[in-house]
Amino acid sequence: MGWLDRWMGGGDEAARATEPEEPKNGSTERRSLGVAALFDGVEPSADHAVLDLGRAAEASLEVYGRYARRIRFADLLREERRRMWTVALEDSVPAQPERPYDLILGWDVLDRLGPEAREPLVGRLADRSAPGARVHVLVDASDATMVRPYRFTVVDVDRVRYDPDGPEQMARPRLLPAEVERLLRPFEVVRAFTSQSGMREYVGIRR
Amino acid sequence: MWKKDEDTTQGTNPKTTDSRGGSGSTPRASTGLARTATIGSSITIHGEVTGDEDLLIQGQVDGSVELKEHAVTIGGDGQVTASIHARVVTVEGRVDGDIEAQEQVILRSSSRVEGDITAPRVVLEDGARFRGGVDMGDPTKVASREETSSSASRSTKSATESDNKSTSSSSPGSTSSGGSKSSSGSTKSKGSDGSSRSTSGTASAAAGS
Repeated sequence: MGWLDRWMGGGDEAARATEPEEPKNGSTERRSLGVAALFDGVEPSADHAVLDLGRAAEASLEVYGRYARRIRFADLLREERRRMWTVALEDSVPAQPERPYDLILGWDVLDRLGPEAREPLVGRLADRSAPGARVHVLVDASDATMVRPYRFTVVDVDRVRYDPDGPEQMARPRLLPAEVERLLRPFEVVRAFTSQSGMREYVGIRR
Repeated sequence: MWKKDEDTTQGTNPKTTDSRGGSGSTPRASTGLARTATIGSSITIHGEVTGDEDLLIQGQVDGSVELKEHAVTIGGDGQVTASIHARVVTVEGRVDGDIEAQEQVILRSSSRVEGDITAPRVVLEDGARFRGGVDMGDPTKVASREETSSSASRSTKSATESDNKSTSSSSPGSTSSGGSKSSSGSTKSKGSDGSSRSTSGTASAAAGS
């Protein structure tokens, strides 16, 4: 597992070295080694299917369109608020009619969903993805007691825009790496990076 | 039910329209007019809408909209619970249903769309709320189209350079003709004023994009 340690450890240093200054407020763009790893080696313009569990955005669509022609947006956090738990959240994960998903961007859903919703959601993602599919999630790894929620937009294959999504909130109990890896099964975490802002990115592969 | 533009200068510039017509009028161009029908904000249609001209929907449509050679704009007041097939679809209002466009789909910042989009190009403005899938077609066909286009461009340029003659490429799209259209199902007026409100630039965006 030396390669795994090297990938996971090496990413931290690289991320710290490239992280731009945190702006005082508002939106910001940050380099994302996790998103870069997600797309790394994916054949451009291949006929893949992408699932983004965040909001739909033009920039994200443009980036995904370089790799896939079938792209689906399912803003689960908005869905959660709208449905008020009358429907199991995992049932909000849309199916891809023609082929399972190859690339999934889960963003910070693990942090923002309740503990009871996490495993069913990951299970549904696994059901709807192909072996070899890649998943990317973000977890707040800072010690802060108050955290600002963000919405995320992929603006390039290695850059993500963070847009504030409401006021600061009490942080949920921090998810440690081992817990994230357990939650993500049957996706095997193969790469992880910690950014200067305190977000830890995980990239897993469906086994 | 329909507010048709019957101007006789139709055809002078069928792709250039504007929507500064104000209350009760259809999108209108300053230099030329396209045939653009408007479903006003007080109109509700249940059933199938078909036709042979561009369409601005400010009212409600439940069913389907089939204008495959033309542009469909769902205005800011428009609510469509239907599948939409058109050449270009621009959404400023709300759509619950699938959208299929031969050229492109534009979701303006005020739009709310839930459904699947099939189009070679999709524009999502900041603020647009979209939940669904995007299918941009077969990548090999897209690549083939781009290559053909590029090749054609190169050969056109080459011909231009070698012959020192101007060459022109035919513009895509079709010319609106006839203006026939129909809707099957029931139509009702909900209000007494019955005025249609045009949003500035709506039809221009639809036709010009």
